[in-house]
Amino acid sequence: MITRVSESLHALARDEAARRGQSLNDFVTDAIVVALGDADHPPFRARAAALGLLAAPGEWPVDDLTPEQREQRRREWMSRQPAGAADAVFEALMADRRGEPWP
Amino acid sequence: MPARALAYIDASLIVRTLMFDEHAHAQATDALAAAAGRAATWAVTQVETACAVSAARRAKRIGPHAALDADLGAMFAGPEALMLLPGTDPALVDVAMGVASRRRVRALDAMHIAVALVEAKRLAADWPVVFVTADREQGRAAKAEGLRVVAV
Repeated sequence: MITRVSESLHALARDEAARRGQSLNDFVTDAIVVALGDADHPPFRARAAALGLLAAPGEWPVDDLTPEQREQRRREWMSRQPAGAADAVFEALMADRRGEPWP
Repeated sequence: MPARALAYIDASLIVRTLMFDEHAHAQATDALAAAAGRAATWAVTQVETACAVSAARRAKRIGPHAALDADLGAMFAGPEALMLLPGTDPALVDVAMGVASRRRVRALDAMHIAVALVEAKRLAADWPVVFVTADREQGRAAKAEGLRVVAV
């Protein structure tokens, strides 16, 4: 088992475990099982593929921005949006589900 | 989000993560991050999300934003993407009709719950499925159908 990690990583994992009400050991064990699987639980994506339970994604646009560049672009865009814009997509989804007209 | 569980992510949760000043954005983002590596949704969630974004643009409630589309691309098609359940199990329609007959739900809600009950449970094996949604009404129906629910 891992015995030495950086202090900052240790603090990050300890805080996240505490936030979830878990011991640090349980948190790390669960993270490893989710990422790598174990004898009883192969990683979910591999298991989904093996079971025929993995659909192909649609055609989504991609860009070559770094996460920081994308975040900056997102902030610039958000600063130009009208009041109430932030909830618009959620409201559109809920209206669609209720079968209500939406432009 | 319990540690050992598969998360079924509803479209309502996804759209809450799209914009950082969105209502409940932080909680939705935290819920999605906590489910990393074990988060699945029905493939049709992509269509629902695309429709909602387009509708908000047509209503001029949001402006054009290429990065928003790229964020969605990362969520559905990137290396850390949600697992997309096909919704093709023959049992799904019967299960969804049963949900519809017992609960006050809309057709897509019934299908999401059915996909969680059938395909997500099959994928989860002996781990529980946790239904993660920002739609409280849908969450109540999912809970009544026996799913564990995290409502943001």
